Amino acid sequence: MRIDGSWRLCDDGIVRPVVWGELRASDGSWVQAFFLTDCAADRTVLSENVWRGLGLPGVAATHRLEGVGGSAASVVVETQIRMAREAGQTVLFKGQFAAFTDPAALDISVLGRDITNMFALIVDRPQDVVCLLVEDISTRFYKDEILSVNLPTRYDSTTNLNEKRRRSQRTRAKLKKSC
Amino acid sequence: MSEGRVAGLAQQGVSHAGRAKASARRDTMAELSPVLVEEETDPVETERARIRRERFERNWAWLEKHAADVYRHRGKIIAIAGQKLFVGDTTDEVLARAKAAYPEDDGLFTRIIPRERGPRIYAY
Repeated sequence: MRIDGSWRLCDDGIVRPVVWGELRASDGSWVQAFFLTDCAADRTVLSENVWRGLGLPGVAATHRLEGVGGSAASVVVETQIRMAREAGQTVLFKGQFAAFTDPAALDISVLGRDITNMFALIVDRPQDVVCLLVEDISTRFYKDEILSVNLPTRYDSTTNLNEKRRRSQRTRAKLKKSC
Repeated sequence: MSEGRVAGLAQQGVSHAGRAKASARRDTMAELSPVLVEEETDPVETERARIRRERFERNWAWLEKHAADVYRHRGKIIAIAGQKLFVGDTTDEVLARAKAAYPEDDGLFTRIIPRERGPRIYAY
């Protein structure tokens, strides 16, 4: 599976990596938003404007979300996020997501590792690529060179990384057994 | 990809995230249910989403073209609908005006324009 993002100009003149998504609102409509791809974020977090747009009641979170600038109050909402994948198809992420209740806390929704951990995340400014790939499928895609038009060939190294990860998982499993 | 495989990845992803951070964050992670992934198979829904995204991109292109004008509204909430700008102090207010003016535009979006410019660190 491949979800393409892009680099977009923000209000301060900085270009940031984002992925398009739409979120299911309380009335069944869909709210449009860009998500900042942030590999440092533990969770996906909605900005206040997106949360308000959904019209969904938020359950007060028992913990405040912490960032570099401090912590801020948040709520938890249950919704779906739709993203576009290759060949004009779409994929849904269903679950509970945190949302800030203060507009000053976050100006853009953040795509955190609750979602990005399912993918190989490519954020490459020189090559102008923002991309989420599911590993096994992406490896096969690389081999078939389906993605070679848009993705530099050096991403073939992902294959090696995936193999390393599998080996490390196997080692961990063996260690677990032996303990 | 089968649904089971995707759901498996979801579980795997969440467990990896849990391990990656210090235990101080564990409670926050635990209070939210795991994210499940589902491939959409309904071609009608997919087509509707594509059209909405096209409208969204049209509005976004308008914003980029008028960035200097739009981004001078520091500390405000903005909405772009029908390739027009709506500015206000709250999301509800801006959304209400944008939807009233362009009820058919389901590609509308809102944005928060931060009061300050400058480098930002996003880490939540």
